[in-house]
Amino acid sequence: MGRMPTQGICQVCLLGFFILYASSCRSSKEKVNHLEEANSLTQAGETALGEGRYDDAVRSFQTALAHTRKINKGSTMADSLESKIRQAKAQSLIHHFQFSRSDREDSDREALLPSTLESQEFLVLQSFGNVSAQRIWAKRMIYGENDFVGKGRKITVLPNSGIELSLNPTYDLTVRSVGSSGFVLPEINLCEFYSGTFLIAGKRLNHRDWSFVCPLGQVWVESGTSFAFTLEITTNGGCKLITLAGEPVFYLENRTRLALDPGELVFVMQNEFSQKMNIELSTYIATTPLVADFEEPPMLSRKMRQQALIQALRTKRHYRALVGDAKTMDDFEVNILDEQDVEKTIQD
Amino acid sequence: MRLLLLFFSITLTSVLFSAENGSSTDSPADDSAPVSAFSSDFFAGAISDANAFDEESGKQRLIQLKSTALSPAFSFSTGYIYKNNPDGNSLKNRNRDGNALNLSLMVSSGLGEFALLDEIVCAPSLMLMQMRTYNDIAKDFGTQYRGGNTDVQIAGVSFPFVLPMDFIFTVGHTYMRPMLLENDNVLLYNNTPNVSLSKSLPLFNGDSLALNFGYSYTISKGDTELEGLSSSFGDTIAQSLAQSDGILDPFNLNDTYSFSLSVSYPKPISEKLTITPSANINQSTYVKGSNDGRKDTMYTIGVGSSYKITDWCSLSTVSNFISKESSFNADKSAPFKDFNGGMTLGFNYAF
Repeated sequence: MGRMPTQGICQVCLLGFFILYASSCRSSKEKVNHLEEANSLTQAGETALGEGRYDDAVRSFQTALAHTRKINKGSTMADSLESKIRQAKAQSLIHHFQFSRSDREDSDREALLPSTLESQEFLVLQSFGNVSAQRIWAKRMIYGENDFVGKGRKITVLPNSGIELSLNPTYDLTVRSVGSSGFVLPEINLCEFYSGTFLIAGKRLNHRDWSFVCPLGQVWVESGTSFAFTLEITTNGGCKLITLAGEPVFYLENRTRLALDPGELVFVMQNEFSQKMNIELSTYIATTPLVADFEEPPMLSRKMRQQALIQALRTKRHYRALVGDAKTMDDFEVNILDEQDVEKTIQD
Repeated sequence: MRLLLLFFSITLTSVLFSAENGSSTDSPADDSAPVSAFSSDFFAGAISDANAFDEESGKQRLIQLKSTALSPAFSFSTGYIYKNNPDGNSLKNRNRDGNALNLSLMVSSGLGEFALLDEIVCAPSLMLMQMRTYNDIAKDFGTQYRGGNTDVQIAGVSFPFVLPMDFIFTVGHTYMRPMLLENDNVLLYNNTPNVSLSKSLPLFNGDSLALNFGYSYTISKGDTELEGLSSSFGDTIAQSLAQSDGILDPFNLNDTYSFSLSVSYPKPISEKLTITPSANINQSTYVKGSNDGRKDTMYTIGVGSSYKITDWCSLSTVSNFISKESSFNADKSAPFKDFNGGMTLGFNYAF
């Protein structure tokens, strides 16, 4: 074997390593031409307005407005779009009451306001599939990002669908849900969860600044740092909480307090918490649709991954058991893994 | 002997593989194996497997965490090695077909896991190791190699940082002290600070390819000829002899800086058996004394297998072909080629 310039090879490989690293870290997002997008959406909005599709028109104008605000000299265009939004809302209001007078059989619709007048308390960050908003304003489907949901709305998520909402911009508080689920947003600082699974994340939460309600009662959340946890409504009316990042503290109505570290799971029963358990974060994060089914990763996804790594290093033993539902007030289900699942999980 | 060993390695691997297939339903009640190192790709495969579970809430597998931040572990291994070129040179009259028995005892401890920023994890660890080598245990060459039996004491500390995109950057320091078993004479003291960057690349078939690039600088301190002469002739004669050039230089002119590049492909055949082909290039440049400027390059290609008998016991085999080149080849003692192989039985226990 002839002599090779090994030092050169090593240096080239080192350089290659860093190029690979740098390219891996580079954002893959393409640049958006906001002006083109705004013009295209404005045209689409005008077409929808002409065809009497007021919801679509308002949504298109609002999205176009969002793009316009990202252009340096877009103030004239923004004024024009705001005017178009007002015009579309006014037309929809007139059409709504004309329609109601001519169709008295639809009493539900008569009691509701047109959805074009819906207030904009909660921003939709992303959604897919069939997600609908009901109550107060006329029922409508929620489409993609930059849509808004008004206070008091009931959100219904159908199977193979999902939604992520910004609940409170002050705390960067977000909630996402996927699959069959239903929840109500009665107040800025309150969520009522009735069924399904949810991922809630935020930067911090002061005591009694935000709470959620499950069928069994109300739970307040407090955190001094960024946090993320999942919530699953159980059959017994309580809920299952799993912390993914941070150390949120949960308070029940009777002031019972519980702090949950990443990877810890607890059931919320009537006026009490169950014993804490540890679940494997890497497997959970990889298999939960709350993370995997959305196009964009959840808030604090990198922190979650970090916590999963740390937990993996601290893990002493894997049990051949999965935590399931809680159907009664006294216990919860544990599903025993079969051999194939054990092998699959170990490979995970 | 080489063919015999190769045949033996293949046979052993086949037997282990057969045994594994036959005992696939005989797994223990739980997996208590500790996480001994970063598995930077432990998310790989999990994502694809996610689709296999239709639970809306995700899979919540119960685990038990360690009760303390420190994670001490203890391991002992014994291995029999065949060496085609036991002298490690290319002289025509060199011995061939040697063997050695290695015994090693290691105590290590993780020092905790620390989160840095939002993405980086550091898990420092400490290691103490005593390794003993008995050369030519079959006595094929009589007592020729008895004087080469060595004890090596190693202490190391490492700080691996798991970076975004599964890169792992490791900063470490190793202290090594080999000594002759015959008279407890310490040959040299090596201090080696080192850094490495590694990456596990997921492959299309779900496996991963491990790449590692390392750099180290060895600061060596050994006996000088003067010290050697003193022990033989006394200080006075030694001092007079010491007038000649170079006699105060250390014997072991091992101050070097080294680059290494390795690639390995751990292929899990089953839950217990893993086969790992690997290749490595290592170049050392000497920077002191008469060796100054010498460059040694070692190419290693091989395949290893590891079979987990129980949670605390494993059997591994290894076969390597080594080619060493050197710019210092006047007497043909430095460059050589070697084939070695062997098997090791290891026991470990994590507290």
